[in-house]
Amino acid sequence: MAKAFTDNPEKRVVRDRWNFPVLDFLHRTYGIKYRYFGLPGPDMLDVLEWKHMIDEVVAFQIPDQAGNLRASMEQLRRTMRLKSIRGNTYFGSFEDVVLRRQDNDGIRYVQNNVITLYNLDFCNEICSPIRTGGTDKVVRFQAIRRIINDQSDCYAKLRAGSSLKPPPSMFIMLLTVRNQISVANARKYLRNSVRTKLFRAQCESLERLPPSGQLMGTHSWVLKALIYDMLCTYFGTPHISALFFPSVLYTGTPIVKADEAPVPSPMIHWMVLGNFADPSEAVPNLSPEDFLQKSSGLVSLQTQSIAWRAQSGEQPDTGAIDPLKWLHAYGGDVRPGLNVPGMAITQ
Amino acid sequence: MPSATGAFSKQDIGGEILPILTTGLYQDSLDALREYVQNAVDANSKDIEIVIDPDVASVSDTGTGMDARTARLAIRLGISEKDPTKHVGFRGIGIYSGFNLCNTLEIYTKCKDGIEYMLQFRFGEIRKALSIEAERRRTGKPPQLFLEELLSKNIAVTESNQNAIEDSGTKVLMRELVPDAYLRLQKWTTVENYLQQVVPLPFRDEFRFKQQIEKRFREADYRIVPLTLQIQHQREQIFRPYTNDIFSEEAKLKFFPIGTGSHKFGFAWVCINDRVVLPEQGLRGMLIKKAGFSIGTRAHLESYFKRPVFNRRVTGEVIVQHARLLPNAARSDFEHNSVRQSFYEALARFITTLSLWGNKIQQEGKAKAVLAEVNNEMVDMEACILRAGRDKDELIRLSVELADAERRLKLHQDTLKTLGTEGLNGALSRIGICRKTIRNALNETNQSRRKLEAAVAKLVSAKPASSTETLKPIEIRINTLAEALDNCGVRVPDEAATLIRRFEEEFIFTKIEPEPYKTMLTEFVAATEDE
Repeated sequence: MAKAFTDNPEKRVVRDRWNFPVLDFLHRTYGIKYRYFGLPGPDMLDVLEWKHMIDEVVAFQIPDQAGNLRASMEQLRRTMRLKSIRGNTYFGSFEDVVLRRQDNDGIRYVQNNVITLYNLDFCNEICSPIRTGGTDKVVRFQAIRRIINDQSDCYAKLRAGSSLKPPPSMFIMLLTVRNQISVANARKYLRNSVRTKLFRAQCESLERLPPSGQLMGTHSWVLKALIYDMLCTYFGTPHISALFFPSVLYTGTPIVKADEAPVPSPMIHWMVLGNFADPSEAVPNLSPEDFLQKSSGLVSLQTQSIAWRAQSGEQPDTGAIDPLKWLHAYGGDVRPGLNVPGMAITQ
Repeated sequence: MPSATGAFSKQDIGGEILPILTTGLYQDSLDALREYVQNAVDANSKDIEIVIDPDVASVSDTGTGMDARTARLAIRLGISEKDPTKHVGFRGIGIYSGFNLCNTLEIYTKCKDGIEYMLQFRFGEIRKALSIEAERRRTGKPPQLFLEELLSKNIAVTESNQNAIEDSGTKVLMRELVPDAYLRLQKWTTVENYLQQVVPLPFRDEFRFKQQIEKRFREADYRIVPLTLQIQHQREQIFRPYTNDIFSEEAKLKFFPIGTGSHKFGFAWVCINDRVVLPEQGLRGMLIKKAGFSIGTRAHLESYFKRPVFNRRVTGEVIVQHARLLPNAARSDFEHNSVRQSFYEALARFITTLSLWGNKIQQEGKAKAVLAEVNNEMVDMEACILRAGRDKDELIRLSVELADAERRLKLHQDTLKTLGTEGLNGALSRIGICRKTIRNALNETNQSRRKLEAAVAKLVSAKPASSTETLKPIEIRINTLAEALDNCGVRVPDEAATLIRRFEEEFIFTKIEPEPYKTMLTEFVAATEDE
């Protein structure tokens, strides 16, 4: 199992310059207090940085690889109590826990409230298999389907409940994925997607897939298409509208194993604003429509910012990326609603 | 080799004394929670939060916190500066109650506008050192682990830069919980029940006696502390265990003083469940509380009730406020002193008063039940009388039932009068009406029979009566008991008749007017006429 992500300078830029402005804007404008779901790490750096906006945390921690396997878990729980962060903790990766419905200690996993901020870091290749104890073969990214279904069930339950306060209809999903996939998996999972067919054809003509082996830090269009297709499918059934912010490429902390050369960690980061759509709409609104062709961003440590960097199959864009300006440009299509009367994202 | 002579020294206290003390005093993992909560209450915390996870259990409060001096003094073993008359904990041992629970105990504390301090207790290391020492002893080596050295290596107070406390307060973190301890602490019901017994919790909002009791608490300067408990993903505020479900509609609340004058020990609130035992066995009886913490269990006072049924019908708390009544270390009783003796005497008097109240409520309940029963019977009776028409047998049976209802009612007459005469008079009046109706019906029956007999007699005497002749009803009027007896076929000698008349004139008529008496005799004769 891969080591949990630790803080690194490029990730910090993503957190500070890309995620924070949007979270802070929604918090200040709509008074949203986030219910956080993710792997914050033993020191909970992102949670502490966003603490003023966070109401509750559902935190996961994978076992340490050597020595006391529970050390990081214990440290995470200590940090939560020490810093008075409300919430629950589970021992195991969120994929394992969500799919198995219990953590490594046998603590039952339940979702009682709508999550408003997902921070999903996939520590392993998203197409790697996962053991759930059942007979079906499950791959890691299918945890997202389960997460979305849990969210949808919870939303429906609370909406139908007697509570005077309706559940929040909007959530933000931050998704960080190692830019790594085997060619076999890339072909297998992209094969039947109509949604990405044209983009794939265009990209393949520019950056052809090798016959076999692992794609590591190259062919970012593969994961872009795969994840987009996957999220659109998963959002479709519970009728969730989504606004996809440009994906951001950065280099994470290399994985260091004893007696082995460090393994680089090229990463792709996604930020998606989801909203339970009006059931009367025939199809939920997924915007922008030309998301796949939109340029990606790249973290620049030198300027501590994110700049446009079009990848294969993407149209070049210019100027600095400002997530708030971007939100205002496209947010009108999303109409999050937020269940607060008279409130909708406006420019 | 130590000298045979000399005074006691630090090296005469072995490290083993620590587990002996803590294991002896805190046999249950939950006792540690109680001790840290108790510190929070003593620190005047406005609320307390307990969170239990597999690795870390924490108790956080918003109390006064500790300054440098207090924090340093807090790590001492068996020495406390707390005033026993004001605080629940005062022995200076409670902070060590987590010894068998976790490997590391961290306490973060801060006074308002003060510096944050961390008190760290490395219990895991202490246990490891004690285990090595035990191994040494097994191999015949001389002891070398002395308490002072053991504690100084593993317990310290340092300034903290964690910013764990926002304003003021204390956070107790039990880290690396011992698995057995966690298994005990993870059970919600167990922990909740325990906390309900030992923490001065508020009452549930929906509890119907909440307002009255909390008002009394405020008047008596008795503080309650809200507590939130989280075990894994379940998080709730914990309340005192009393709910409306455990009481009948007739349940009543009353406050009793415990002791008087210079021997005033506090007060008690008691809910009595009318004549029904409380369905919740765990809540039957009275619980003694000092500063919110329970002393012993509810079974403690059961033996004071002469009739144990009253103990089963009541629930409540004896709130002890006397400064010199000090709980013992195990919180199972008070320490022995002269005040304790007087307290238990006052407690016995209180239980007697409580039993009398219980008895009164029982009597009232019974009386009300009989009244309700008789009223219900009267409804049936009225219908039966109508249905009976002139069926003499049925009317007589109803008359007997009526007499029985009246007898039962009169048994509780005095109690019912204290509850208001309206109900009693109403029932008696209904009985009177029913009786009159029966009597009239019986009279009519007798008159009809007599008419028939007279008609037959006329026919038999061959003196044909005119078809138009009207039969006159025979009026019976009985004036004396002798006459009545006579009418019933009992021959009364003259002397007896004279005596009876005298008795009537001198005694009966002084209690009852002659006319109603004569009516009663007439009814009696009428009722017995056909028997």
